[in-house]
Amino acid sequence: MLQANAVLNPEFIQQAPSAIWPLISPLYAVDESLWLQELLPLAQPSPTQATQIETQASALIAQIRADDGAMHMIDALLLEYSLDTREGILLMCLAEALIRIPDAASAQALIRDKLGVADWHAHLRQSDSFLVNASTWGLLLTGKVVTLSPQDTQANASQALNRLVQRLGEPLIRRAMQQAMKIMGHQFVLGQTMQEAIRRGQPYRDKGYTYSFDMLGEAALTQADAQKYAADYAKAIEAVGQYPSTQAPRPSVSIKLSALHPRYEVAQKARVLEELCASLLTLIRRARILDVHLTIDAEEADRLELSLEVFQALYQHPEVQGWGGLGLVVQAYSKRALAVLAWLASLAHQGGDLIPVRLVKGAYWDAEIKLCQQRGLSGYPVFTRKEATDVSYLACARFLLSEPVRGKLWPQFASHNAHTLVAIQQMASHQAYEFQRLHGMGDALHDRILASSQVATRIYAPVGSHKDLLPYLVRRLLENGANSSFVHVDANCPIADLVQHPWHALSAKVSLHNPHIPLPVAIYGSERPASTGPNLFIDSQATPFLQAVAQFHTTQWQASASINGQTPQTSAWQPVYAPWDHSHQVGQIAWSSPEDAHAALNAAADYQAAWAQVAVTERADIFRRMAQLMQTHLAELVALCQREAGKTLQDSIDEVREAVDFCYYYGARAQEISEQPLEITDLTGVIRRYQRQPRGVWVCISPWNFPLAIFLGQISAALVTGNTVVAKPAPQTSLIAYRALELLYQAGLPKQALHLVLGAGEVGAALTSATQVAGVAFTGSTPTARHIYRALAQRPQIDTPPVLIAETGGQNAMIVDSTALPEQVVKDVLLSGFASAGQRCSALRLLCVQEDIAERVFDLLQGAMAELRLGDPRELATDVGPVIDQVAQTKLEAHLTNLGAKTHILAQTPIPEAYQQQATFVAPTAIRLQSLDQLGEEEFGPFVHLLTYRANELPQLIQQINAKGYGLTLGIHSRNETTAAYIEACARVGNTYINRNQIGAVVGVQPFGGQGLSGTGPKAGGPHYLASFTHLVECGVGDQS
Amino acid sequence: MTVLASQVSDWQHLSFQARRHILDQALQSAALKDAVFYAQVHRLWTHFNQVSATWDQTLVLPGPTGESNELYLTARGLSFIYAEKNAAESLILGQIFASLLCGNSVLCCLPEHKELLQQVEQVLTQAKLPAGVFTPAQVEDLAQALQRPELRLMQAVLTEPTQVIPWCQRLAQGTQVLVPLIYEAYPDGRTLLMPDYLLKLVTERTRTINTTAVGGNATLLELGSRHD
Repeated sequence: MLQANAVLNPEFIQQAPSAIWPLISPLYAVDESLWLQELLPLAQPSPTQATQIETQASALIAQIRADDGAMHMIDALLLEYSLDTREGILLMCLAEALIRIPDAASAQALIRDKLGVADWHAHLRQSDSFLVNASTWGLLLTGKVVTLSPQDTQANASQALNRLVQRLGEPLIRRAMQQAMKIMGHQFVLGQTMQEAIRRGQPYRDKGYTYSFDMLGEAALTQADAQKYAADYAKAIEAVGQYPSTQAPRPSVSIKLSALHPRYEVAQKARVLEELCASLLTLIRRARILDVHLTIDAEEADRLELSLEVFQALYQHPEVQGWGGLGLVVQAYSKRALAVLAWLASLAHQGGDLIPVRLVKGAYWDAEIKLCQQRGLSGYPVFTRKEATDVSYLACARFLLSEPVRGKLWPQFASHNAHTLVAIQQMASHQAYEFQRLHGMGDALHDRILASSQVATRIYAPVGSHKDLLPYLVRRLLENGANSSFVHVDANCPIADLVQHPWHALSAKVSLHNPHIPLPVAIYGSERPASTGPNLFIDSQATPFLQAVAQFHTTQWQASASINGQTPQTSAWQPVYAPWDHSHQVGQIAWSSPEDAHAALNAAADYQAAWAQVAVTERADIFRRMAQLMQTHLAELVALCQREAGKTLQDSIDEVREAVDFCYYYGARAQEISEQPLEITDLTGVIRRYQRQPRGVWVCISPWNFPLAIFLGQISAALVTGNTVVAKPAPQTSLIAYRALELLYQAGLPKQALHLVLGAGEVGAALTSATQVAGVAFTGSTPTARHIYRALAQRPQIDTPPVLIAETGGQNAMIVDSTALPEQVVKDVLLSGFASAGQRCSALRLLCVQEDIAERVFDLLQGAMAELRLGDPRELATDVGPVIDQVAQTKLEAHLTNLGAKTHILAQTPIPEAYQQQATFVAPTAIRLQSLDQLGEEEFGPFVHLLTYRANELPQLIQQINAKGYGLTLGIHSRNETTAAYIEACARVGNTYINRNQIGAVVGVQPFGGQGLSGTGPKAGGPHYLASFTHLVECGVGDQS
Repeated sequence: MTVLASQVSDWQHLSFQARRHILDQALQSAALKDAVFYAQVHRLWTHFNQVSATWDQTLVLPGPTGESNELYLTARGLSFIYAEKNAAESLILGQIFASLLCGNSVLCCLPEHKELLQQVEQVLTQAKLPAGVFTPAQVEDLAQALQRPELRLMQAVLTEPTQVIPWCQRLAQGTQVLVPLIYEAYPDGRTLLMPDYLLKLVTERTRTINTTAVGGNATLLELGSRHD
């Protein structure tokens, strides 16, 4: 690990950048407390400094508070509507969506949804700010603010609002709200065009400020969007280039790399380095001629290393050398910040050109935490306390202001925190740096700093359409919340509380990390650990993991039946080939016979009573050990999933993680349902005693699409509750099942408890028609489930029907109304429809988009599908792998061939030539339908059918979807919570996902399973699942009560 | 035998508490209260209410921050209820009221208990059960009813355990949804009194909301600044 104080040694940055580079990545998820111990000395002020900072910061805040006109309207808004108020959140949601909603009905409904629930009144009275009041009511009518009557001020806020709405009429309110949102946009965005921005920025230029212009917008999803953003940046550079020179430094342009490339992600590094660098060089050439400095904006933590590589490639490019105008943003909340700065300094030392570096605290804090928890990563890339971020900021500042760095990096300190600014001034022994602030925020603070020092201040100013405003606003608000900026704090807060040095604040904590934010592995508390996986976008995690996986790229696995741990007399071994390359052998299999199935059932029956006697804690421990073993063998299991099942790298990791979660979850729950004897008094008054017991022998028939997770999910549930099992995995993925069996035996499972037979229908039929079977757990197609149901019912010589738990397919829809964010919708459609080549029960099959935004959504989808990459699933760059086999491929291709005349293909991702032969790829396809009647049976592949609907047809649409009879997953995209709740309530499905993708249910978090044609229940990974593998058996009769 | 979709949907969307209230009123009617089997029915009803007492609450599941995950129980849909000739009337009523309490709509075929069927229909109507939620069916309709695509359950009161398998076989011939047989074959009602029985009449639903999409992650921000 990097020694933090070593960076202050002048010799440190004289090392080659390549020597410092390896120190960056390991800090990604470094132990937080350990790393903060390193950083704290760099942030520590001397006693004299601490006193001076406190005195000066206190004076500054007091001056600003004393100045009535100092509170800028945006500051007032943020102060009034902080994120810890319901109203703040609602206002943000409204502003985020309202301007972009094209249809009046949806806009009105959204206003009703957001304004009807909160206590707006309190805010109206509390703030004198014009903007706050205008935003509160959004009632700027023909230039006048609607004032409330005295009765209203006493009344309940929502009643007052309702009266107002009734009086004015909803269309008027809607127009007024939109007007108010535009005013907000006007405050946050310097101009909708560069010309407007330059004009509006002139008064600040006159005060001595300079600018960094940012072209507002989401990350590009399509080439067209990327080209549009590139053109916008080019125009901005031209416009800034024409800026007349003043005494203040020249304005610059900030560039967001994810806006310039539709696949700006580590997985597509080769493409990014070639295509994005080319596009950036075009901008740089012109910028250099016009002397317009460019700053590369910060992105999410996953992209940091990629951004640095792009930066290095550009910085060292012959056409850039000798310029000194290419800068970078570094986020202090990142654990890697100091190492990144050290690396940049060494790069500048080697290259000789100054690098402007904007140090910010960071704006994606909550998203980073969430993502790490979802992906089960080893730790967080960001600090979990705001005081820690502040400490990191000051430690980075100490380095940036140190003498060896001077002339190499040009520090630009972005902050709205009075204490931070004063601390930096105290720390600096020179003035070779500048301050930065956001447009619309911290005016009063920075005005005074600017007036009292010789340090330049640059305003980071968004330029662009108001409808792009709010994602940006959201980030700013979150940043405020996360970092407790100056403006966020209540005006009544004692100044002394605002000027505590973060070094003191953090040092006083019991632990340096935040104990309230558990590590990803600990989010389920004491019940069980969460499964973990590596981050494939972080070199220090990805490289060793990929190397470990690659060691299994030539391994040949074998699988055969296992009865009492023995391989029966087998037929000939048959080779198994990868679905993505039919010449790539994965191993070999010996298929089982119906006789093997009978032998396995007999063996399972023989041992069942003994297994049931094993204490439930002991059984649960076996599965905990199994979970640990799978984590240990992650690389091998991933390689196996890739090679036998054609799963992509991330899909394979997720597969193993789900299997691990099943083992932990059922292990924990089994102990809960192991109840004491139960007494029931029947209707005749007899007391009957019951004991929960395993049902007996279970047959578990698992599918190839989740060859490890569902295989283990089924058998672990049956075994942990004391049943014995005969498992029959899908023939296509027998090697994976056999390897799991070996690991289970290694974990301590008696070989007589679990038996494996390999084969297709004939073997399955032998199992489901046998009288020993007490239950069948099946995941697969609806027709096969029906077939099993019949077979079980037809068995002779039984008097109790066995239990069938069937999880089958779905015609899963996603309903998107016009309040949804199209970019988010399309990202979720790509994942839901095409991840795993659409071979998930939960996969999206039918995308229903309100017609008002359909064109934009479909255009984006078309463009984004063109960026998908099909290929070898072992490669990180591959988005979509093959379908499982030729039978599946032929069926799916037939679907495309047989599309009716009234359908048409909107978009199709081509299959690369190398994979058109000797492999089973199917092109991801988006198919437009005219009506839902055109949607037939489930097609288990990468096809998404598209349908539009009118806003007033929503009830009928839901009814039609319900009428299909399936009921597995449903996606809803709507910013209108009332609409989302209505759809959710009316749809008959097992799992609903609102404003996210609809795949990847997590064990114990999103119990999974459908209704109707989609399954019998209970839900796998849910609290009721294990009980189904047991029954209450009468163990005694007492007296009459 | 028409089941009115809109009323059925309304019934499904009522809370357990609201349905309990309506069904309670039906059970309080003099016609049932005076019946000899009322004590047993009351006993079953009390049991069902105890089991389902918390079912209006959603179960909040743990998970990553910025997302809410809930599990709740809801009606399965249409249930076909049948009773054999000598089935105890209390058990028949138990099956009917349990199913209705869970929000299911009921097609009820009681060829040997016509008077009871009439009585039940009457008290449910008087208690303002929405039209179409409880529908009497004739035995001639049986085959057709078992083929209905919206059928989700079959509940039976049998007098002989040997009848279970033939009914299962009959249901297995269906071409639509896998319809489970939920049966009571003991005259003492022990199956209906099992703690798991009522769960078989409902289905589980999971609702996941990306809460950050509608307004940031206030909870996490609060955790970020909470005092130790």
